[in-house]
Amino acid sequence: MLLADPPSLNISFAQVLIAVAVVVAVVLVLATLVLYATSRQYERGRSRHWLSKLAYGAYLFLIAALALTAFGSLLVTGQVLGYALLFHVAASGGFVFLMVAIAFLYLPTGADYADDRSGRREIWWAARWSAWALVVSSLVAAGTMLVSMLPVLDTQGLLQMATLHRYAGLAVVVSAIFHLYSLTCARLGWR
Amino acid sequence: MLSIVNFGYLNRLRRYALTLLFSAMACGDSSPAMAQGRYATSDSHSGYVHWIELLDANNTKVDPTAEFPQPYSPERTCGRCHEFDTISHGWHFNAADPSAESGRPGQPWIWSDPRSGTHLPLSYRGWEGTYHPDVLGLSRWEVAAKLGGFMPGGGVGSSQNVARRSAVGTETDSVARRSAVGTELNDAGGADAAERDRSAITGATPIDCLLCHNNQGSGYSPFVWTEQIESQNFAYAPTVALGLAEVNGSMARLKNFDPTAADAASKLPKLTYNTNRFRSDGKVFIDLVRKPQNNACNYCHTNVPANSLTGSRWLHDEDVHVRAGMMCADCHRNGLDHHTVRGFEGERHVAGSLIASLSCQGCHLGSETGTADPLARAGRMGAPKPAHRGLPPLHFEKLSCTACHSGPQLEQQVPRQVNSIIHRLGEHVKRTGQEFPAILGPVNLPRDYRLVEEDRLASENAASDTHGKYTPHRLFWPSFWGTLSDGKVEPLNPEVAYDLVRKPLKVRKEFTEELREVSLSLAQRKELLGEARARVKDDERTPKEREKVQEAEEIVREAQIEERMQAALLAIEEEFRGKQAVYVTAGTGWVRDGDSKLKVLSSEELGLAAESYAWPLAHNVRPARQALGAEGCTQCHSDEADFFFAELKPVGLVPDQDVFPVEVHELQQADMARLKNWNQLFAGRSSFKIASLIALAATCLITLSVLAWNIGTYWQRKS
Repeated sequence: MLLADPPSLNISFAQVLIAVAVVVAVVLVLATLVLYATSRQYERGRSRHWLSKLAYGAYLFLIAALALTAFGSLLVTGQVLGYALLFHVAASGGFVFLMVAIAFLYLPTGADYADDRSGRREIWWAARWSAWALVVSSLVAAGTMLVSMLPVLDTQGLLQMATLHRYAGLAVVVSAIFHLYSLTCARLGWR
Repeated sequence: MLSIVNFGYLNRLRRYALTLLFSAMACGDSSPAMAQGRYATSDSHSGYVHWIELLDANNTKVDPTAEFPQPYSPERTCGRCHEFDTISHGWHFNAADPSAESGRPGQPWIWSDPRSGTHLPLSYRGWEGTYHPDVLGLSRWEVAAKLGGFMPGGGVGSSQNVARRSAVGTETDSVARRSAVGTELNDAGGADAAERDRSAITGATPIDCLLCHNNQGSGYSPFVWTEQIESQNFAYAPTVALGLAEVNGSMARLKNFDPTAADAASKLPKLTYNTNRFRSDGKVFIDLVRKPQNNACNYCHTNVPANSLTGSRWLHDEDVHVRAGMMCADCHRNGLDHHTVRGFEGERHVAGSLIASLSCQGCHLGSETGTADPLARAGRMGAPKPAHRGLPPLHFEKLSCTACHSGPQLEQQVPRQVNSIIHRLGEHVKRTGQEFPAILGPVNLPRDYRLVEEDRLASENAASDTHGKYTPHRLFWPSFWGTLSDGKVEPLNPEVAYDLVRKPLKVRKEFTEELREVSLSLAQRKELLGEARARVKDDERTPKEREKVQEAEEIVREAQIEERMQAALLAIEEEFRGKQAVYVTAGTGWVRDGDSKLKVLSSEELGLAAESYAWPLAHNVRPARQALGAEGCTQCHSDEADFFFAELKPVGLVPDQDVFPVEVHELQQADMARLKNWNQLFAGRSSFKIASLIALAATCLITLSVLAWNIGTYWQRKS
């Protein structure tokens, strides 16, 4: 039956969530060990403008809020309802508009590549690629919900879009973690 | 002659036992045998033309020319070729059978007594909020005689049931489980025991197959059936309703009747057959149909907006399914066992038949493939699959299909409706739509709205649970006389109550009207208007005089109500020592406060007994373009939405009583803080969508530009 599908998806998605959390934790620990073992003291990364930092901080906060209300609720109750959904929807507004700023400020541009003339060092590849992942997954996560709000898709389409939204949301969280991690490493001069 | 009043239930029991034995021997499992039946059938779509002999209760051919001709017995006549015992245990007949499935709570039988201001929801099925007639001390016969006019016979008035008329004691356990109202008050009080069960005189109520299976235009009159049942002419009702004969006399008027007396036959109602209906071989043409037609269902299942009775009925539309040519029995069908499909989501058929595709969801949204049995697939009878474009699927977990698609459009003030059984539609009288009890609807409530909040939240959180879904309901507030003890209200047997309050209330026919009726004495009028104008008729008075009289009447009325109500409550308290008498109506209660005052109790003080009773509705189904939400999200997600904020005004029976309106969300026990926050989110939704689209487009543009720039840089560096 049509309405019997989402709960079964929820269950498998909950398992995906746990698996991804474990993998991310393992990767971070391993990466830290590797970075520590192979570390040389690099020149510390450049510090960004405070407005840029503020936008980034707000964006991460919203991602954390969205993840908590969606995934937390899914893991605890098996569905996103009530206040969890209310806060999720309320936070999503800020997410959509901050996404523009993040794309503008954090996607790798010329300033992030090596420049022989000025002696500027290229930004760590992990930071570059995670920035791309963050923006693209954010686009998908926001886009899927926005399309769902329009009278375009039927119920089956909406259910598929909701599934896509969940996985895109998960990708946003994972890429945000790695992006923050890589920026932190660069800032600390580990890479 | 007197056999029509004999039960003959020993014979019937023997036949029933034989049927069961036959079924068991035939296949070991009764249900396939039940489904097939043991009689020959025509099996043609054209049906069978019923030129048949009429048999009376003694299984003797009816002789229309006899001095005292017998009424025909559907059980004997139809039972010659149809599995009567199997049929007689179907949904329409098994309400009083403790082994029958209770099913989803539905419309109760309402015991209405306009004389005492009683409208009490009854059910043998143990539906939460209804009262079990056995516990109230109402005999099965009383229920059949009072309410059987809108039942197809059998069931509560069947011989097996009326034989259990004294079974209150023996069934205590099961009754206590099914009803919260256990009381010793009602066991045997009130009217004379013989009057409470006249089955020895009237016999059982026969099942009238033709009430449902008559062919429209055949001359069968369901209201004649109702009249005959109410005249206690149980055995005569099928014959007279069919138009085969007229009856002269009424069993209800036979007081102190002795069926064994020598002249008993001459005192019974007399039938006069229309002999032209009989062929020379004594056979009669019965114009019937296998599949009940809508008019048959509508006789008992009509619900119309009360305001449509005042001339606007022609403006209302019928159900889209009926408009499309469907019949009630297309979905609400049954097999030989007559377990009619009710069609709600999650219904389980007692015979285990596949009925999922006979519900709204099963037929319109269910799977077209993947089920082994084609009868379980969606799309039957050309049911279109709705797209529900842009409607978040979450709504399907919160709302039943009917919440958006069924019943009249929601209004800010929940309107009154009239119902065929409750308001005796079919009777040829002038109605105003203000008849009691006031049925209000539609109101969208969770199915388990009567549960306390914690229990309901628990059920709401169960993902697969359908009980928390909002479903449109009709509801009414019960009115009754009862006793209040330890904060718990227990209704009295309405007949007992009437006996006690009749004299103090000084009401003969209509509680509200007569309690309201006051006329000033000549002395009062003289005092008010002066000697010269005291005898002037009302329409000859000046407006000022009229105003004076009205004001005086109001004071007198208030005193009259207070005095009579107090006297009525005192009469109950004198009968039931140690208990406090209470009259409950519209969620408010009246008790004596000392010796000379009345005290009004709120619904909180009265508990669940004063709460409204609601039952789900499913028709009329509106066209998709008139569904709730078709005009946008804010039809429900706004602070003015009728779905949550419509006002319900209970209608009380005490003249000029203050009623306390409630908003729908109070019954829904909805989290208003959350709802209002949600509504805030929907306030600027259209602007948000546009702004989001712009943001998304800007992000895409930036991303693509940066991507192009990166690719350019990459190629530049590479070269």
